[in-house]
Amino acid sequence: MLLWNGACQVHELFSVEKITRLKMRYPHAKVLAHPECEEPLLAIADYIGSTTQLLRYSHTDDAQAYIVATETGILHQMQKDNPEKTFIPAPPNNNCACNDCPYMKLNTLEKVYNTLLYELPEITMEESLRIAAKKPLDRMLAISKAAGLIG
Amino acid sequence: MNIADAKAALTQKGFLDVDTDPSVDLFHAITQLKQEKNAIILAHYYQEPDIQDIADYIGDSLGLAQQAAKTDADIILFAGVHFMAETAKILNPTKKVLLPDLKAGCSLADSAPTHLFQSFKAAHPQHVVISYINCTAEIKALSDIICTSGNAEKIIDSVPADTPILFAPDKNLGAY
Repeated sequence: MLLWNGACQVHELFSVEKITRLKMRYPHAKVLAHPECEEPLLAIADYIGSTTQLLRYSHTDDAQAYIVATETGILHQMQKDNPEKTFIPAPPNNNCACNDCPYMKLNTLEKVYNTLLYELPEITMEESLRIAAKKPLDRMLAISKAAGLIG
Repeated sequence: MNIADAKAALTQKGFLDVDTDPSVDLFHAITQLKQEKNAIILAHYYQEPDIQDIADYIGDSLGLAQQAAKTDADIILFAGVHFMAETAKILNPTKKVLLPDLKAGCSLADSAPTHLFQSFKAAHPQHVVISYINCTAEIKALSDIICTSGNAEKIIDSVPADTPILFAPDKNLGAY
């Protein structure tokens, strides 16, 4: 398989060293990682999956603590679904200990309100581009449905 | 800023920088607007907790794309990043799709500029192009199949084993 050399700035930041140290402090905690993370981190993960899969795993699995290597927004639902469990955000390799996606966090409740009130900004697209982009998406949805991944 | 100025500055700022009455209960007001306008809020798991709590559906890229494809709402407010709102629009041409901040991009989507990807694809004409959903509509249009982190294995398995694959734009997911 030929790979395009791109990466997600959030998932590339995690520090395997800091996570290993955390694992020593919390020996029973499991490491949950998103597949956009780098290979050395995936190698020490107990479970690898999409955000939905990580969320489901943290609910059905019987461990009591997890070190979560993906964007911290997911911890909100994990904590809501499992109030008795402990979720620790995996530490990144930078000085400010934050692994928020700066783009995701541009949206605020106030912007949501104004956007709904004035119906702006709106996403528009050339129809020819839309039709060309729809074809591979439809294939994805059909394969996912056949595989039972979506209802 | 008043609404006329905010609209004029929209392209430059990426969002409506309009003054909001600080006494407005945003949770209540958003719920009311959703009902009045038959609007639905789809939010990604990476959104801030308040936005997740006001959303009608919270999910990852795959779940959100499917939800966008089957909603009856007239307006979809997409609380996520640009490529996700684009995906909702691609699947729902007749619906109004709103994104609170047009500058909510994605480092992955940005890592694959259309013209460079076009030449990369042209250099490998035998390859099936599988692109991660974290890409622009232009890259999607150049792809054979889209995948997400939730279905990447199934999508790759759907291609005959001897077919060469070109995978973009995330090298870590591709390698995994």
